[in-house]
Amino acid sequence: MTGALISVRDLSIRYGGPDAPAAVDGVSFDVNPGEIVALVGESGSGKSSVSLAVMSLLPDSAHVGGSILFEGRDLAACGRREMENIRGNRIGMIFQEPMTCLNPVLSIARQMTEGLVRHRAMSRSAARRRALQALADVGIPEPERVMNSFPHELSGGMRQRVMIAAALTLEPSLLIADEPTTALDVTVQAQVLDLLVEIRNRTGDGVLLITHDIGVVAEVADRVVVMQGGHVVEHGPWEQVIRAPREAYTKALIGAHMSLEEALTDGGLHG
Amino acid sequence: MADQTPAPAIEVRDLTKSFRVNGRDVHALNGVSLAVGHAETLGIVGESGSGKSTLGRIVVGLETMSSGEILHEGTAISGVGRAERNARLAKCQMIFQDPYASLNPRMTIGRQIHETLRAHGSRQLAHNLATAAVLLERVGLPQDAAGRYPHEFSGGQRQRIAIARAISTGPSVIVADEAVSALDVSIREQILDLMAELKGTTSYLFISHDMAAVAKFCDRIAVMHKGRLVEQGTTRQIISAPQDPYTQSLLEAVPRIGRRR
Repeated sequence: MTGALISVRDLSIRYGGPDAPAAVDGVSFDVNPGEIVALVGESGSGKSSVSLAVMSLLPDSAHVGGSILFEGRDLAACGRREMENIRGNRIGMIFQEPMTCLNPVLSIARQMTEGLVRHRAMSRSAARRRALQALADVGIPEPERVMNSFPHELSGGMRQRVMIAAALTLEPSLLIADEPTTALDVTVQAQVLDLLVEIRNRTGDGVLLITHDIGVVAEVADRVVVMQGGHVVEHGPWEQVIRAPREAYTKALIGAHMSLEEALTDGGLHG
Repeated sequence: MADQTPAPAIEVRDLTKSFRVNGRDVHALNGVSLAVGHAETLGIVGESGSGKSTLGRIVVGLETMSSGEILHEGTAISGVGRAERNARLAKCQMIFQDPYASLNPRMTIGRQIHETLRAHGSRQLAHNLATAAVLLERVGLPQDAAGRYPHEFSGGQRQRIAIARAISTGPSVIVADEAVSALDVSIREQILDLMAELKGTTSYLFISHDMAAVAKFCDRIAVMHKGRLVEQGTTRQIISAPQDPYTQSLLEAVPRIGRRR
């Protein structure tokens, strides 16, 4: 056993039955502490199925083959209770649309302290202090005010910060971020990406970043796993995959991500 | 008019839109003035809440303005009768971000294009279906597309359908609101190429937060921030030499390959 936080080996996922066509086939990768690993692909590539499998959130109809080890433990062998403990406690999750993950009728304070009170047997006041610190850590200017707010009173970028802060209060060792910036404006996206890098640098957490945006991957990932049609088509350090891609599909993805300068010359509509 | 320059296809002057929220007036648009020339493509960029979608919706008549003026070919639409106003608005079509939401799931594609043409006065079903077949072929869809339903198509194909429907009435102005934002990058390219190919004499208001798509597709760009127009110019000016600090920060935030955070 190496020191990998998460070790995915020969993962296959079929929906509807063991004989159904594989949505994911033969996928293997590791996430090490302090490493940002990006799983990149277009719709239908299977990247979201892989992230759900890592979180054990696949529907019962999904048939899973291969193995997923988290800190050396086989997730398939974990009971529901144990898995619930790992999720949240050891694995923090950040999703695309924070509004659907935050409970609209509970204050931020309530949502951020609940896990601490339940999982860590903290007192309400200690949990509150920890939550305030977490909000400050993710760059929220007035943590007290945000604590007393409800989700709808916050902007999209602020909600995403709150969700990241909530994930961090339990000090997980792995963060899974599934399209964390896709619903955000570019300027806010830039802030959230900086924040993910900063958290990794500070905590040494591993980050599994699932995204369709090769531009985002190029800016933050240490290692890149490119998926297409349920398979890994290319996998390696970012310098290699982004700067010297070997597979035609990776080249096409990078090629389709036009820089603004390229777009200017490519357009040809504006002399 | 004294000079020879033709009036712009569409022009808005000092456009304001306010909503009343919790007893306070919120300005979604605050004194916006801009013009789109014939066969010109104007990109409207800005972040959520900048007012860019509200602007597009007002131009096609889906929303009303609080104050200001909209001119079609130099004629203020507030000054014309209802029939002429409707006829002028019929020359403005819209393409939305999510083509599935903008198509009727229970109607075949051919029928939906027929409905659009019928609303614009062409009532013969057989004739309209023939027109639909030609349009669908022009946007690169298979021949039997007219007889199929929206769910039978991929996201990119649905956007092709939405484009076919938008061009079916021969509009002079098309407002495309985040028309390629929900598509995978490879498909996005194809749809942008298709729109460029079909441009002809149509003027476009291309609303998007995707700077690269705007840079590729548009002749000029207008930058909006908090309901105001902060800067406008040719695409080259805005992308290569933005003047306003907000435009600069917007461009700086665009992810690029070759830079590390």
